[in-house]
Amino acid sequence: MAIAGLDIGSVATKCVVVDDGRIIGAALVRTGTDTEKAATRALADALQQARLERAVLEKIVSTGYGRRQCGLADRVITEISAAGAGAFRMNGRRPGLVVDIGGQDTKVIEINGEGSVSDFLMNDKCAAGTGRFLELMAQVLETDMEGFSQLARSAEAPRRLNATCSVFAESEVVSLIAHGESKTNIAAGLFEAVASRVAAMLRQFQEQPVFFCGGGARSPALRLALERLAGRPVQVLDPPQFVVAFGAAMLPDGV
Amino acid sequence: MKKHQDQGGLKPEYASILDGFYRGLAPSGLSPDYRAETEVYRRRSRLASAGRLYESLMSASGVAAGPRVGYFCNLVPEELIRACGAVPVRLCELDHACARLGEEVLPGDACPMIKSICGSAAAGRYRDLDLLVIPAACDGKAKLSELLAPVRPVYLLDLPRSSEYLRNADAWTGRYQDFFDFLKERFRSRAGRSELTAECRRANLRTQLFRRLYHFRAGHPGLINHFDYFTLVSLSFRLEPEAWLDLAGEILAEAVGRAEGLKFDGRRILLAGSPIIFPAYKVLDILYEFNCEAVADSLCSGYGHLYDPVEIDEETETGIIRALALKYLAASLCPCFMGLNKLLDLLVDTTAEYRLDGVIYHDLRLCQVFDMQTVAIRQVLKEKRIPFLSIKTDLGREDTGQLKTRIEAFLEMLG
Repeated sequence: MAIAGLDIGSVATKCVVVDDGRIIGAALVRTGTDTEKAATRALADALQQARLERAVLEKIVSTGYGRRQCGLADRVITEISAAGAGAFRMNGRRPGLVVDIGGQDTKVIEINGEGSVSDFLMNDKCAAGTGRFLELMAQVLETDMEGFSQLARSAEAPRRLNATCSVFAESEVVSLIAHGESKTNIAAGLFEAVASRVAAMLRQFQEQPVFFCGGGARSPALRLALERLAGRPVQVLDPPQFVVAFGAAMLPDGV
Repeated sequence: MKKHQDQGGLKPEYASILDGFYRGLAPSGLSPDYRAETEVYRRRSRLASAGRLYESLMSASGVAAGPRVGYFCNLVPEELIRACGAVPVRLCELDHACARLGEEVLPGDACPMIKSICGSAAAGRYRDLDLLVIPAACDGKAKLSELLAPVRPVYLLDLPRSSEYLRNADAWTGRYQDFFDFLKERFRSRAGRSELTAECRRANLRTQLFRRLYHFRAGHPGLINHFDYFTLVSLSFRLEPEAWLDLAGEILAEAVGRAEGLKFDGRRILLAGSPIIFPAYKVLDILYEFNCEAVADSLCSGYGHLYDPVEIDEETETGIIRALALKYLAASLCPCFMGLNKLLDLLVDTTAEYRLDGVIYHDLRLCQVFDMQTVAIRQVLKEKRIPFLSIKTDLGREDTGQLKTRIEAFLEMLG
């Protein structure tokens, strides 16, 4: 029987419908201010794609920061356990470190040979180094996330940024543009700034394969910056934004 | 004697300017009301005797009469103050409203406890005390000795910051002796060996009971829950030892009587890091919600305040003062002192002894020395296969959701 995994993030709500370990429907909607509404829509869209009625679902598992603000779920788990479970099943059941860059959190999750989480680290309260930070910086550079990534990839010499706070980074970027620095170098510098924070988190763990998921993993520039700064290959899990929702649906009972 | 008063002082002219500024910040004072919190924690307790425990937070009974000496940090020996006929009151506090007021005096990124203390001082909450004693344990406290000088007379207890006691025992003993001499003159006391011995005995009785209670909690989690426990320790900041013994003795007796057949299906962890003091129980609230008990700790507002006895080798005044120096300083787990070895030993040994599920490190954001130890602790505990979670937070409640995610994920990880 099919199971739905609902990952209610701070920026996007993701839903997958899984049958026999395969994703047969997936949907992504902006979370906005009404969590319940976003969850309902994501579920309906994913079900439609899967050509299933809600009544046939065995259960719905919710995760993500809005996991408890959703009345649809039969079960609730944290996005950390879900990311670990999803990554393990998407990477060919290999242990390693999962980097999940979401809207307001950046996490590194260590999964062992059984696919269980054995340790994890999260960024603290501040938004610097998260997906939201990159979105804001894309706006400052007057482009979207895709354009931002492309800018960075044609950089000659990434411009090092000093500000660690999103608000100050914005004024630093504005002033660099005013002083004639190229947008390409600034974009590359911004990705390096985020990647270097994640690389520092990775160094807290023993060296092992790195898997990348979350909205941030959609940016090739960020993956390349992370590979360079962490000094090892980084494999993007596909589709990166649905890893957590998939993990929620795949977790056996009783975590 | 003048040299002591000068240690933490400000010239009268400057002090009076600053005093005028403080009085303007909170002209009508500030008296935090914790009745609602008290009621919540009283209801969460599983013990009937907890009624009296939480009532004590709101009442002044059990506090001795006499000149009152407010002190900060658990590095100030209460025994010396009591021996001179004065009443010690530990003023370490974590109050959000006071901390916000403190931000009008101090930068927003100062330590939450220093801000809370400064706010309380500015709001006039210390004006009925006879003396303030501030150990220069950290830079924030050392600076407080000047900023609080306009409010009340301040004695700065300057202590070398190394816990290698063989090298520093003489220096600490000397500073405590100076402090004792100062107190005797200030409160016209002729206290000596016999008064000190008597006070050490009172404090040790409290330690004995505390140790029984501490070990009991690890074996019977949830019966004396972590709210009851930290409230008991918070109360020892101002209660006379006998009043505290009476209260804690009743709690322990009731718990022992009900311990048989008790089942606990939650998780038991050791809480390390920054202090937790009533009513700043945000992290305890979240642990409770997920059925996780902090049954052991390394906090200066818990284990660190009451666990160590005074062990007197030589019954002379100097011998006793030296024993106090060892109790307070050699045993200190404060990250401002070089005590990381002791802390790591404690975490590893206690986790094994009580078979705990893991260690949660409570890092009150901005007290940087606590954060400076995080990576070292994390790496050592990882090597020892002890599950470890570090959480950064402050006195506000707006990060509750994020903290819940981290703690809940940690508990899911434990399986």
